[in-house]
Amino acid sequence: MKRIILLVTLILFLVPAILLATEEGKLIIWADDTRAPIFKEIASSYTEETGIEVDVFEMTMDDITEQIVTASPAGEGPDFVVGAHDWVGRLVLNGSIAPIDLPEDIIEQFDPVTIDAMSYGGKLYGVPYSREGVALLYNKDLVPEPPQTWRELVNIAKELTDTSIPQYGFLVEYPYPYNCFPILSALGGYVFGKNPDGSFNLNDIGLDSVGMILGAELIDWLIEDGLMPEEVPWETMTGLLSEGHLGMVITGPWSVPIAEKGGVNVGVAPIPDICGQKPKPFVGVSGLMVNAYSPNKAIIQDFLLNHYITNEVMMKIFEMDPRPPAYLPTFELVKDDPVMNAFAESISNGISQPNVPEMSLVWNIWAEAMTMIGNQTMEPYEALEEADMKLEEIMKGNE
Amino acid sequence: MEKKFRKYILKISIFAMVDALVLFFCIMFILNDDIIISSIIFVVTILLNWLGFSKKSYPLRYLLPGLTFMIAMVVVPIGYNVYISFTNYSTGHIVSKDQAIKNFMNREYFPENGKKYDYIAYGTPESLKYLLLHSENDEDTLVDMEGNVLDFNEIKHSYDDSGFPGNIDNFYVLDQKEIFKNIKELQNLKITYLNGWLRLGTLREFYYYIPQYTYDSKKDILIDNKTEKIYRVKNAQFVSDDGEMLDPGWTEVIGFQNYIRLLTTEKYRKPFFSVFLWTIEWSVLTVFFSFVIGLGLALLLNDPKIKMRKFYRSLLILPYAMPAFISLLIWRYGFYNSDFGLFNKILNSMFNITIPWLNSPGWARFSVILTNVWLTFPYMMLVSLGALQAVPGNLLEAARIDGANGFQRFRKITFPLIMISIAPLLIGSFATTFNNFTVIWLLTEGNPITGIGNVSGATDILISYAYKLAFIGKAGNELGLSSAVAVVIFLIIVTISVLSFRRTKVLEEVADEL
Amino acid sequence: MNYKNKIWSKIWRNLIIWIAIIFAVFPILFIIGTSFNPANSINTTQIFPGNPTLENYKSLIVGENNTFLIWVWNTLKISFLTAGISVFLCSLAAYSFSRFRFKGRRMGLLTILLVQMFPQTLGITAIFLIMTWFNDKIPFIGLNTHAGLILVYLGGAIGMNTWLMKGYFDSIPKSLEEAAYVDGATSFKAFRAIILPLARPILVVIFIIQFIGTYSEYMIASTLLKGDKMYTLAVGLRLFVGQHYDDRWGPFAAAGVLGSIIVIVIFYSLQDLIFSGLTGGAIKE
Repeated sequence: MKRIILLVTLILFLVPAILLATEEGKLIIWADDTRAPIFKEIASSYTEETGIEVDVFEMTMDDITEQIVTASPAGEGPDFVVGAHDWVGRLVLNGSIAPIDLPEDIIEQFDPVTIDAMSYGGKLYGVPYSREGVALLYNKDLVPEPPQTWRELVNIAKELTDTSIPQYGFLVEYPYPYNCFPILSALGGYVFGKNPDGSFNLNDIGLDSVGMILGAELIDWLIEDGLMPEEVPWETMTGLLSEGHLGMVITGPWSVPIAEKGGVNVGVAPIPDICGQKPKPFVGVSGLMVNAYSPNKAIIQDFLLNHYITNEVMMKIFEMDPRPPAYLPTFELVKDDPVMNAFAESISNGISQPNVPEMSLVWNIWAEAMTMIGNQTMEPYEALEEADMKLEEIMKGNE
Repeated sequence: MEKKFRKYILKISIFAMVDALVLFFCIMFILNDDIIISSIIFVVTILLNWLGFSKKSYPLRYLLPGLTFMIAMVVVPIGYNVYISFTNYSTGHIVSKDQAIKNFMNREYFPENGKKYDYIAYGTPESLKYLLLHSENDEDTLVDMEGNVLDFNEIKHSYDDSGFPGNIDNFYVLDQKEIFKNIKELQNLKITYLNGWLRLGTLREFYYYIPQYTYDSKKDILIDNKTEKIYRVKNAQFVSDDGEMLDPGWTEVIGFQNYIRLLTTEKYRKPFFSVFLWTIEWSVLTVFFSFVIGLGLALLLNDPKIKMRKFYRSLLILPYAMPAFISLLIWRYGFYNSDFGLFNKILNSMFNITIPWLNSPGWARFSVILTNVWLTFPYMMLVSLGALQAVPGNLLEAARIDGANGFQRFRKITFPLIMISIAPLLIGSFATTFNNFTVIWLLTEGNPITGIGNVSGATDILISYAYKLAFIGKAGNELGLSSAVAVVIFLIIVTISVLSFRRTKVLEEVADEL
Repeated sequence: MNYKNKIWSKIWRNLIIWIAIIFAVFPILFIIGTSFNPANSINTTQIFPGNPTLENYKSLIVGENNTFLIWVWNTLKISFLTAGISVFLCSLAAYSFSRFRFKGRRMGLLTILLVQMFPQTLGITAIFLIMTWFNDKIPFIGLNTHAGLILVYLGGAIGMNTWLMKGYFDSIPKSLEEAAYVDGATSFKAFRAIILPLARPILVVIFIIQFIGTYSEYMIASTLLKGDKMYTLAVGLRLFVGQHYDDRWGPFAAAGVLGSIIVIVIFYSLQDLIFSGLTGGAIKE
């Protein structure tokens, strides 16, 4: 009996300690692990200015996109989510995020590509802060001068690769096609064609375009020659990179700190031309999106206009997460940073990654085709043609 | 006797007090329009009273505490899932119709050349009283916090030296911090004005907004106020006559359509059988091997003659103690990776062979089972250790004197006895493994793939296959469809379990005889 | 001859145990190696890094990742309460199933096990919606409360554990209680004074199983809890890896090592209660 009483008192003790309620008149932001610390800073300076509390919750990206859908209509959602522009299509379909009204003169201060990426059906759904995309990251101790052409890159790779250590001259994450897209796009590969008005034409799928197949052929040769394993997950890539056993890799700014922590002397350069053609990486855009069901519309607008879209805050974001700012006045100020500038140069040739919800399906089937190419079951043209065909079938709606 | 009587009185008075309290709460909830919660409490209280005083209710008295939690947290979610499987729940159709309409009603637009007002707030630090709205070329407007427009001249006010109304009705001008303290109240203020309303646009200004849509509940249509376009309901979505669809749509019951789709679509149906077979294989092999290893170790470590048993047992529990998603990632990337993994590195340097641990269908299946056995055998060891404590030592001793050897003693006495409590657990483990999404997903994601555009990979079990089905649609999730698969999986596993339980009945009768 | 046999049996027993230990422990060694790695990556070229560092551990205790300590506290609190209460609930239910014969007993037993077999992966949304409802009505057990999370765990804890315990109760002879009834004891008293003490080994086993199960649960906790002060260890740790931007494998592995040491310590100290005196032998008198 005593024990039961003890237990009951224990529970009674704990319950009040864990009360926590969400409320109006207070902002809540959901952000993933890299962005949460940044937005905590920004939030605290806003609280100082206005006295309005802002809570930043750190969550994984998957949790954010999945939970906002059910949580928001139930009144348990955040006011803002910090996310990537490729969420926009899906979240709009679910009615989770609301269009954002910004005055023309403010919109003009952003890089138009980023505004484009955050728009869906002609409306703006997110306020961008950075652009990002991949470039060629190289270990200066192994590769003193970055290659200018694909041929040079392959030669360096041949020189440095020694699978017994293991050490590789050149890698790209594989089979997931995001990082190797510049190689696939250089000779004209694309995912969706565009309508005259600039929107994506979902009936024109380019997985089997000649450029895409040629690009895949280039990667296939690397694998056949033993210069690249048939599968390069992120974990393997970062492991080799940080241990100094990787000469060059196509990756984004997110890999720079990992390499530097391992003591690698990092350089960044644009991805070398392929047959004289510029590789076109996907451009991703990060920004703030607004919950459609938020009761705090006025605070949201104020936070955006009088706090977030200011040089001071954008600068702070850049300092904590050095990717090319989407806000042009800030971008002008930080142009001198060599690493950032190299990424900016690389993505200046880039194309914005489609934000239509169909993209998740495309990624899956595309990755499957790349897997079949990598493990040598299928030739690039076979695999990509089949993937294209399967996609068209599903898009037309006959399963 | 007197003691018993006193106890009885005590019991009655406690029940009476609780009942009175409940009655009070019920009335409170009814007054609050919470009929549902009120009736739930009422029914529960009657049940409790019955439990307290009826002799017949004895068994239930012990069961009820646990059952309550189970019904709320397990049975209700199952019911919900069954319901979802009969709806069109999917990306674009996730909210209820009311929520969708609320979403449209919330949309408003700022008309071209629309007006903006800055404002001065009057009140005390605790509350706002009046707002004086000011816009260029317009006379100032005074409103109270209910949104009523007041006549400025009818209310007592005074000007300060610069001609600024510094005081209204004895309330003074609030500074920004004081205003923001009451931001909630200010945000909720809507002042009716022309076709729309004025509301706080940014913290510093009121804007004139016009609602974008009007909903006609009688005709069930949505009208765009700006373009006057009419949207009618079609497939759980508002659609205009020229085919423009408004997002979001809503959830709607669609009957057996998901099940029919599952059965009639070649692409879903075909892999189902092979996935099913592999799921059985995976569950049976995992449970079998982890149980054999776990029981074996439990027998060894139950023997007091083994020194350092305590230490050994603690080490063996490690795979179970480490959060599974950590160790699974280590197995995947650290061990199984065909180019850099530890296994291949060792095999390569010693025998010069490379095994495609996760890349060929056969090996991948072997690998996931190996890892899962590693994860589960400590659990089996633990429950076996527990069950072994119920085996009477004197029985074993007697058998020994009768000349039975170690294996015979195990087979005739120990094993049948511990199976009484463990057999149901094996069936339970079978079900858990059957549905063990985490292990498959973190190790292989169901891969290696069996072909481009095939939904199922070589290591996909039914549950991961259902998960993938949820994402194969053109855009986003098809949760309705995958819920239907979940229900089918549930029916399958329940059937298998019920069949296996026929056998445990025999075991229980053995126990009764002992 | 007999002596030789004994030696051999001793050797092969120890051999088997050690093989099992190696099987159990070597993946853990890999995690320990990673936890000393200064670069935030999984080691791919060697098990132990060439330049080991304690940085990762330091960052968890005093450095940038020290919310870890809050997560451990939350997890311990939740796991202890869940395990404690569920042992209590299960023992009540198991007692009822083992000692009373009532209508629907077999059906009831079967049902509580079968409903656990529904694939939870797809049931999370429903749990979320129920908790939202609680949030409106009874906020202190609603979303983002540890109390609410414990309630959800308790719901799932009844099935298998009740079976395990019932099996054990079945093997305790009824004659012991019957004697107590003759002395005028109520059934609850018989349960408390006779059954529970005798069943201690299984109670402890179930406590441990439930404790560990709760300790590493991810899916439900991540749906219900928001904000890094509220997270449990599993949810918090997930933030360190598995998203493609900023994997913190070092601190992740270090946290895993520390987290499992806690479990091992608890197991080490509780396991005596499973075996003490081996009362199991006495109850069949």
